[in-house]
Amino acid sequence: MILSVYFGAEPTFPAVDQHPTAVRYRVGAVLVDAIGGTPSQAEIDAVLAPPPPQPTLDDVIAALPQTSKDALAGVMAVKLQEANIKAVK
Amino acid sequence: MALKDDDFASSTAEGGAGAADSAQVIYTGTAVSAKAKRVIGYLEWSSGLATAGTWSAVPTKIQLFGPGVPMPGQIIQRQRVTDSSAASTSVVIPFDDTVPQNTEGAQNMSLAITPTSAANLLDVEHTGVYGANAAGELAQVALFRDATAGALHAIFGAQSQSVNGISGPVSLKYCVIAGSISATTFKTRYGPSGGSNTLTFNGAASAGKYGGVSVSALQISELMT
Repeated sequence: MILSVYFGAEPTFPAVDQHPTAVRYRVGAVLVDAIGGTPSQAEIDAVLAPPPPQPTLDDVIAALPQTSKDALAGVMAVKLQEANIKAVK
Repeated sequence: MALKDDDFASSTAEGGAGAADSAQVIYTGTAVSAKAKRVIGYLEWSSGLATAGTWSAVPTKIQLFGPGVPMPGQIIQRQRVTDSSAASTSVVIPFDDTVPQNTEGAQNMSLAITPTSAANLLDVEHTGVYGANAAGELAQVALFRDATAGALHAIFGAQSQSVNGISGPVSLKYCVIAGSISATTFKTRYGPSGGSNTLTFNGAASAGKYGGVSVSALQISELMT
């Protein structure tokens, strides 16, 4: 398990400050405090790589084909009409 | 209470009943108002007193005031460490109503101080630059002392408004009685709130920013009481 990844100078405190069994490793260009053995580059990348951004509703609608957008607009128009009718009653 | 020799002070009547037991109050035999005062010294009990106002033990220090003798509130010593190196962690500090533990998040700064008096205050300040890698993520920072598992103080910074947005900076301040003249170490830990997110110290999105001149600091000032 990776606890911390350091990109620059080595910190002034020991790895055991992170966890009693933590060890500091150099993996490629970074230092890593980890427990359970030397982490792989893939494990480090998994910690560092940001998750893909979650699409917004606008993004989802923009990606729809035109026919789907037309159908969605029709459904929305009906729903709006129903809501108006209820409001009048 | 900041004591000064160049102003006036009022007092509370002690009343002869031994009831001079409130901190930050000047007592006299009978109350006086706006009188000139002079600080002549102080007594210190690092241990031995159990009840406020019951002076049943010999002071551990008797000090007459003179040149070089600090007044209450003055800084006795200051320790400071700075760090401009970037680091990242994905170990979560839960964003809930529990005290952060020293097994949560990752430690990023550490600083020791040896107080000169157990009665003095330690004023701890941390200013950190933190960046998240996901929208809505928080910069969470907690302060720990020595091996105590529970945080003394914790704070969260601004929420990241966009992916790879900046969450910090975070400013944390805490004041505590020294309690001992042995060396004591204060540590900060940081972490994201979400299981798959990463929080970066001195940078954002798992990379440093500003080429090393973005600096975080941890500072401890020992204040005379």
